[in-house]
Amino acid sequence: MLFLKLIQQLVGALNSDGTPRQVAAGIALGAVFGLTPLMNLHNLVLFGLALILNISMAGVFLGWAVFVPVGFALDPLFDAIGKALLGADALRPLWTSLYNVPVVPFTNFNNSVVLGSFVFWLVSLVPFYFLWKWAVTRYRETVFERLKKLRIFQLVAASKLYTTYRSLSRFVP
Amino acid sequence: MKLFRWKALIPLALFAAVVVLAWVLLVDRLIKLGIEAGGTAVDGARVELASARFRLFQGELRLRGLQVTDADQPMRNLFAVDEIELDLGLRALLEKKFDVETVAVRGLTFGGARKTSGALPKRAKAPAAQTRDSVQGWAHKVPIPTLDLGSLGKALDIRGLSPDSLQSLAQARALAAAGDSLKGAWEGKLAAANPRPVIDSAEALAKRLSGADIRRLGLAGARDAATSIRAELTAIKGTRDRLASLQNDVTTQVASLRSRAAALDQARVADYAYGRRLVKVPSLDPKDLAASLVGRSALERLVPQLTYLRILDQRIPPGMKPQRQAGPKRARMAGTTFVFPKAHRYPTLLLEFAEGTFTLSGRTTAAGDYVARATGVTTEPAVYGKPLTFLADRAGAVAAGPQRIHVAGRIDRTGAIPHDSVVANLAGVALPALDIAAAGARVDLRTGVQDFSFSRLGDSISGRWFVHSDSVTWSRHADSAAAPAASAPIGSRAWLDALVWGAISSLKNVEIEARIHGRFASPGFDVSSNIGGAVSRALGQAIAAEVRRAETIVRAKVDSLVGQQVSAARERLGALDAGPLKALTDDRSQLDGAQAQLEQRLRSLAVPGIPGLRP
Repeated sequence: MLFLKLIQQLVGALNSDGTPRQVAAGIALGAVFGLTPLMNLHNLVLFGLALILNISMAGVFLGWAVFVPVGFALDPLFDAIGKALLGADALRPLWTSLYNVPVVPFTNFNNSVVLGSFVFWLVSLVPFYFLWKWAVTRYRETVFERLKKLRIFQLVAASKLYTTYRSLSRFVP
Repeated sequence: MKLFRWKALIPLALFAAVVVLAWVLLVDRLIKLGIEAGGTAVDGARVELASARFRLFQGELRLRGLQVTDADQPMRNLFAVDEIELDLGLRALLEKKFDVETVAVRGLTFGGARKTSGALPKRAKAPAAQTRDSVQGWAHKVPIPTLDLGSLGKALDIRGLSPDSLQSLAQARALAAAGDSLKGAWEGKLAAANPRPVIDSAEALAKRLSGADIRRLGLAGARDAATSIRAELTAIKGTRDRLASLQNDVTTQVASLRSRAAALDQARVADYAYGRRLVKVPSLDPKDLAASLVGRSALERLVPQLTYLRILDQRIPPGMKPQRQAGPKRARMAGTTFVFPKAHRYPTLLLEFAEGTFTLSGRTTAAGDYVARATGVTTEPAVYGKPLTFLADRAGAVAAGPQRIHVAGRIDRTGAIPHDSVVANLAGVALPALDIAAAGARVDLRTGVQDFSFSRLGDSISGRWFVHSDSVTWSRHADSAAAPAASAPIGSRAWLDALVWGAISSLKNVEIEARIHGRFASPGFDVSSNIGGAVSRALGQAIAAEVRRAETIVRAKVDSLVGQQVSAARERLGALDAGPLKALTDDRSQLDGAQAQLEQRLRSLAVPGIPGLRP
């Protein structure tokens, strides 16, 4: 069931009415929820931003789902990046200021994995966007046309969950 | 294409409402879990909280049913509190910090029994438990001598006394080698700075100008002679400066070797003591005997206090350097959380002032009413800028239990160097019973005075545990009481038991003083007690002659092993005095002589008012 839902989400995102740019922007933004530890203030702000920006929400959820395992796998790398940044003498005044500014500490930026993964995501944001835009465009031009003819695809597309999703996606494109 | 979709404001508002609802529903639970997890990490045993209630706009936090397990006794609580009410500063909360403006504590109980064990699984050993293990490890390594008289009445076997194990021998060899090396090095430098050409040239000039004056040499000849003399004097001065510098270096290094030579005597005393231990000649020094008899028990009294100081050291580091802590436990990697303190801001946790009274119920040593005060309780004293102070005093009329309990301390971590002091005085308290294994006996100290004090400055610590009782009772273990002491051979276990028992069982008062001193990470330990003095006197009467005989044999053996090397080392040191140092002194003396001759010639050529010949 979960697997089916994931497939539907994937299909929904890639074939939604959104343009490849909207889907790619959604995936790139959604990646932050998978890459960085979830329960932090910055994710709350970025989720609000994802709701209000004119990007594909299906893409956001797809990016989230795809990058959760990536986040787990790359945690040692994020930890190393975070430690290097937080331990850098040159950056200490910046971190000290941020640490003593109201609200900012709730982002947990002073945790090596949180900062390392967030910086990794921030640096990857633009490359991710262009990579996913190219991938979605190519997919719709080539693979999607072939997939549409497959019986399994038609079954998934016709399932109750997918139908519900499609009807809801009209309210939140 | 529009950048924003304004119709999503409704889902956004819904999302915000969900977040607020989740906060309202979950915040108390999250605080409870946070306190339990944080407390458990600090304590090294389970910390439990029945409930937490947080009212954001009032800045009020109410905790109920707090239980902190005693990590050493998991079925007992270190302390438990029925209710704690905290008023928190809202501005500090916005910075994720806790500024406790006022605190009210109700129902504080120390040492109560637990219904379930508060032990943590073995694999989850907390840093506090690791610290406890580390201090225990130090305590096990502290050398406590054993009272062994096995060698008495027998021929001493000193074959095991190996030259390699003697300190003075190794030091004498090193000193001799250093002396040789220094002598070789300085002879080379002296040869390079040979003053003989300068001395010879100066003496030749002085001889040539002997009896010369301006009438014989003429004005031009006198000027040339004066110029030559001045040039020679400059050369002499340069050479003498070089020699003076060399002499300073030699003198400094020889002085260093002399201090090492003086240490040889101390090393030999240590070798005598080592030899005595090796062949089991007992020491009659009261301090050694006190260490043998009550050292281990006294050391165990200091272990908990040293552990608390070390935990304090980890939890409240000095200075303003960023601190690193393990990140929060989660499915993802925890990582490392950095804390960036900043002066004149809020520390992560601050309780500026707390004062109150509390009652310790039960019939324990500490039962009674107390008045307590604490100031500057914080995780970052350098940020707060004031030291932590605390005070607890027994208050009110004392019907039973201790007559006086006073605990005070000052933990100053505001600067880069920690400066802590803690004092505890307890009078009329129930004192522990101690086993005197060497006598197969046990002393019940009953009630008396007990003092603790610790002082720490930077990397050094000094600590003291003192106990005094005027009403002790003695008892013997069943197996020792049955031992036939009178007929036992000298030096045997039964003989020793009987002798020590006879010495100590008449003591009505007992004093024990244990001290730690030195490096905070690994302090030294010594102990003294009137028990040691009593046993020393008894042993002195019984076996003094035997011990003196054994000591003479050991000393002779040590002297035979190290005497030659020590003499050789001292000879090398003497050779330095007779060699480079004497040569330097002689050279400087000859230079002085040549200089005096040239200056005399220069004065005889001097004519006031004539350029080049002015005095």
